[in-house]
Amino acid sequence: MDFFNIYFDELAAFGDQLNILLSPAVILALIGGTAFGLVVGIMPGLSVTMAMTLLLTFVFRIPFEIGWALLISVYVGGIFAGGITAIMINIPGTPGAICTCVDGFPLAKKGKSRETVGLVTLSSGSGEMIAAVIMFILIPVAARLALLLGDWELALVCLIGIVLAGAIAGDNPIKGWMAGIMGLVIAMVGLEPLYAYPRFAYSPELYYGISFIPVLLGIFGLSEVFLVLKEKIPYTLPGKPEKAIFMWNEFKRKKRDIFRAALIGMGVGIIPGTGESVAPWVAYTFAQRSSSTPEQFGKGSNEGVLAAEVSNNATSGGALIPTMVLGIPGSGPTAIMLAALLIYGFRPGPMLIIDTPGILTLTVMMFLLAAIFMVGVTFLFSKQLISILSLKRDLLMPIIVVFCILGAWAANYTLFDVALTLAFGVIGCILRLRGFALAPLVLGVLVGGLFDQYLRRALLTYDADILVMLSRPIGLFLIAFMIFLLYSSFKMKRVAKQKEKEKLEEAKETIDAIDA
Amino acid sequence: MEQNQKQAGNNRGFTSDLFVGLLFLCLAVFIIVESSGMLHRGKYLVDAPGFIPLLMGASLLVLSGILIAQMLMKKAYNDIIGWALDNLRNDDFKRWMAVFGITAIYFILVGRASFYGLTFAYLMAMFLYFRSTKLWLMLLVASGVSLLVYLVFYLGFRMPLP
Repeated sequence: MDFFNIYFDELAAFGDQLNILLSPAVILALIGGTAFGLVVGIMPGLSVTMAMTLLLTFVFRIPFEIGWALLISVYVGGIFAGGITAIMINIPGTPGAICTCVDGFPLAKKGKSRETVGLVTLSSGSGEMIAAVIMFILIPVAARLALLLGDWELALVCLIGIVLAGAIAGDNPIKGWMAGIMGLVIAMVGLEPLYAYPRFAYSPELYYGISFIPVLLGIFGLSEVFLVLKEKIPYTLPGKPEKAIFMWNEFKRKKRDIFRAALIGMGVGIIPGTGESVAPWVAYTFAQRSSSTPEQFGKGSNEGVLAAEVSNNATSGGALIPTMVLGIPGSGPTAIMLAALLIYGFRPGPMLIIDTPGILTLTVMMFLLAAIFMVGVTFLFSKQLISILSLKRDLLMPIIVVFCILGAWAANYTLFDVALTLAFGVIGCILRLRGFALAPLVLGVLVGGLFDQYLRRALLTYDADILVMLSRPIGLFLIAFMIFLLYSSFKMKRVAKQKEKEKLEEAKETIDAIDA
Repeated sequence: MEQNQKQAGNNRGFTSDLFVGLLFLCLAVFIIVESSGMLHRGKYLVDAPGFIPLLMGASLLVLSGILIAQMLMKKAYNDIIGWALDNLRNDDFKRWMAVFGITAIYFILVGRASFYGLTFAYLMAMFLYFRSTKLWLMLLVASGVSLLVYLVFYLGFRMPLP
């Protein structure tokens, strides 16, 4: 009954919230915030978290509804823009967009950048909108469900992300998993959380650990620069930079895929800390499984891009649930939103919705409007976005290096992070040359600290009795789920190889026939 | 002829994979040795700070062992000298070294000289090396980016620059 009361209170407050939402100041904040998020998101090295942190310093001087609208729209715009850079320059703007690189960049190289940017815009917008609506319906229930996950299950979620990314992102899963383990070990550098014991800390800077920003910038940003510029004639994206093409008809046909990816993004995004990075990989595997052309995945598949982007954007709605209802932020941007709520005098936690009826409706509607404005702003400025990112590579890449340095510096204001970026640039370059998937490495760095903490706490809780841990139903379900996803991913790869072989043989036969 | 060239290319790739596998093997051994020294803390072995890194090191050891074995089965050890010479003579490798060299100098000097001046010099050096465009345009882009950094980051975001 409590749940129904919450909904009734929210609906009763709907009229007031609508008035607030349609006020010119809030609308302007939403449009401006989305545009600001987009600009920040397309600059490699500048993160959504950084932009929101800068905003936080003055949002408390303006009324709650305007400040809240600004933060939400920057979040939505920034996460979306991360997908654009993933497609156009193979550098994901956010960790969630790493999966988008797998198919987005090959599509752009085939001369389909306008179509792909259009597809990403629609996918991101729909992912965001679906997530907002589901968030409204599920918020009282989902937060309680998320609490059912213990340390063991949370460790398993981290593992699922790395195992899946390793298996999907490259040709050789062994190389992918090696990269993932390397990422996990990198995350364990510094003072560990249980006993504050220094691990692999050979210099004072290493006591603080290695933050993921220099790793992301080096592995994806600098290594891309090195790899592109080593070519005698660096590649250019075919086709004249023009406005993005929105393929509405094709998009409409993918309704089922969109809903599935949004539900996965939303569901996995609820899990604090790990959800946002893992969700796109799970959605991608499901999309490959249900696709009629699984062999196209990894080589430039619209379905792959759609699944990755819808789920990536849907996670923002999912991640807000534990932030608002439990007071547990799952990522940098949600931590800033939590801080903003506290600054404005709200008490995030289970009582938030009961104490402040209407806040959920307002947040959901702001997410919806921000998603609509994001599609609109991209539609208007897509030509400029595509033109900037289609610049000659030997002009664009050195500029990206400058932004990589600024991004690394801005993470902690230390030159050590700048040096780390260069080191990871070289490591990333070598690994990419040898066909190692780098997504699992970055994912490992992102979730490694949490994985270590969860697993050790779980082992302590169950007195290191693995059998008891394995018999927990949710954990068991997660293990079965991981095996199922792995099996289908390998099966799809085998089918794809088989199809490719058949096509080659057919082509060979045709050539032989012509020769004869 | 074409098939032979393709085969040689594949062999070179296998040799590179063998070396990368060996590097990972060394890393795994290093992780195992280091984390073994962190096992004395904690109530049990499983909550010791070194336990998870030890697990990771062991997993990495197994995986790199598999990779090395795969490459050895493909006879990646044939013609290691040829592989090394090929890499050194490769034009791509020389260009890579040049790009890396200029970029590394930029990274090393960051924090030791004016960031705007350094950025301008780095961009000009790269544009000139690649002969990206006309000189006036190179000057315009390099100074434009330096100015943008000043306006957006220093004035706009009030961010202290390195």
